[in-house]
Amino acid sequence: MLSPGFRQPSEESWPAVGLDVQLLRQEGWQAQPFRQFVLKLHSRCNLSCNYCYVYEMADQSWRDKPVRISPEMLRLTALRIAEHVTAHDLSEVQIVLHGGEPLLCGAPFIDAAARLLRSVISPAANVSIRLQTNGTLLTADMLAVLLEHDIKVGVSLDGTARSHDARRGYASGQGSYRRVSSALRRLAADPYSSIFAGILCTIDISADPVATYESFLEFSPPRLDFLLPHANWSTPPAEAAAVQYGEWLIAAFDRWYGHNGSGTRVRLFEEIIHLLLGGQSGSEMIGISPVALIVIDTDGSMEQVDTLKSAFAGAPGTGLNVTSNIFDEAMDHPSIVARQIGVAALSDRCLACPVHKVCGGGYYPHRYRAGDGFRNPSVYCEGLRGLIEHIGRRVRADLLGRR
Amino acid sequence: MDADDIVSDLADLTHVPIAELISIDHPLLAKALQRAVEEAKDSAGVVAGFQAAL
Repeated sequence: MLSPGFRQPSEESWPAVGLDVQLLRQEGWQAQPFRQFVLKLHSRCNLSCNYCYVYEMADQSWRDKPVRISPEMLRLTALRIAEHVTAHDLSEVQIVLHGGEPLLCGAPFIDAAARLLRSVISPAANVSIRLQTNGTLLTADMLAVLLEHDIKVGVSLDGTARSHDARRGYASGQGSYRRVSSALRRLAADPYSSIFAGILCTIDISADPVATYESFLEFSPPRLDFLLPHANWSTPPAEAAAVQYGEWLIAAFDRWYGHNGSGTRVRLFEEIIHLLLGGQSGSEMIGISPVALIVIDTDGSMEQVDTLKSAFAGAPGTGLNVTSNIFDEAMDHPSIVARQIGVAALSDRCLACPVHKVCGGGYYPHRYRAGDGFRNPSVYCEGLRGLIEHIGRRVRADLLGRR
Repeated sequence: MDADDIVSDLADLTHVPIAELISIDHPLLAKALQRAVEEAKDSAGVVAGFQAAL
């Protein structure tokens, strides 16, 4: 049963049209149960980043959502997750506390939420909890709660103070770098370093890639990930052509790889190397491994990855809600299925490309084109191919040179 | 250099023992090979994977 008042997104294109889930099942395809639950605790943010997919792009649904998830909705969500874990005999699940800015909930709420989630789900499976934050509210009280519950913390930082403050500021126009960098220094030191998961950086194409990479090293992040700004064929990258993003990443890769990765791990680069060596991707950004992720918003609605909000209004919606649906119902949603069928979700152009099993068509939201949906190469195709081929050449040279 | 040349160059690596492949003097790549070998179970699988990917 769909939520009252839910209207299917107006886009009548692939996969909503053209992907026959029933037929796939008849042919033996089996959906992957969800293993990662992105739980939106708070729908607002204290920053006003100029590229934010939640507040600044096509979808404005945040305006209608509860500001904070209620304790009742949180409990119901935990019960639904436990039910899903039991039904599919999962030994481990990951919960990502997200927003908006989840830390706007305050330390006592985060404490209570972590206790509740673990008490309801842990009897059925191991629960690892992560949290993605803009880093401005990582106070001593908050860090103590996060440490107590072993909640791994990822922080968004866009490079140098200049890059970061130009893009990730408060509504007043004031930048957030000083506060975030101060929090990162605390997070990188004992006793909190054990819960420091890493840094997420959305690429500032106008910044020097090597200087950007090196600017992170003072915080000793265990892992770094570079994100391409959200864009698609109908809303192309605003600041540069796709190939320039590839060149930017190549320069950053060469700095990282040339120093043997001694500074930090870089997820995008590690995943590309792993995929080149025939492995399975551990990231939803690249590769063709099934994506087993679902988002639960503050009103209990089950949604697909919310970066789809960059495509069109309502794009992440499934019409399902934890109040009246179980997660298995979402496993039949065409857009969820589209991310679990590997090469069958790729466009003909992708299938003809020699690196398609590595790039996997690129990040799903970046494949969108109004009118024909998501069965396209990434709008960053040219840049991704250049990056993958470059990494392939470097790895090949080292493999052959070892003799 | 195109994909066919790379596949051809790498063909003989399928016979390299795992231990030798992983002992490459490049810590980052050694770690990557270790992870890939664990998934593929053998070095032939890793190199075949590399060939297939390109």
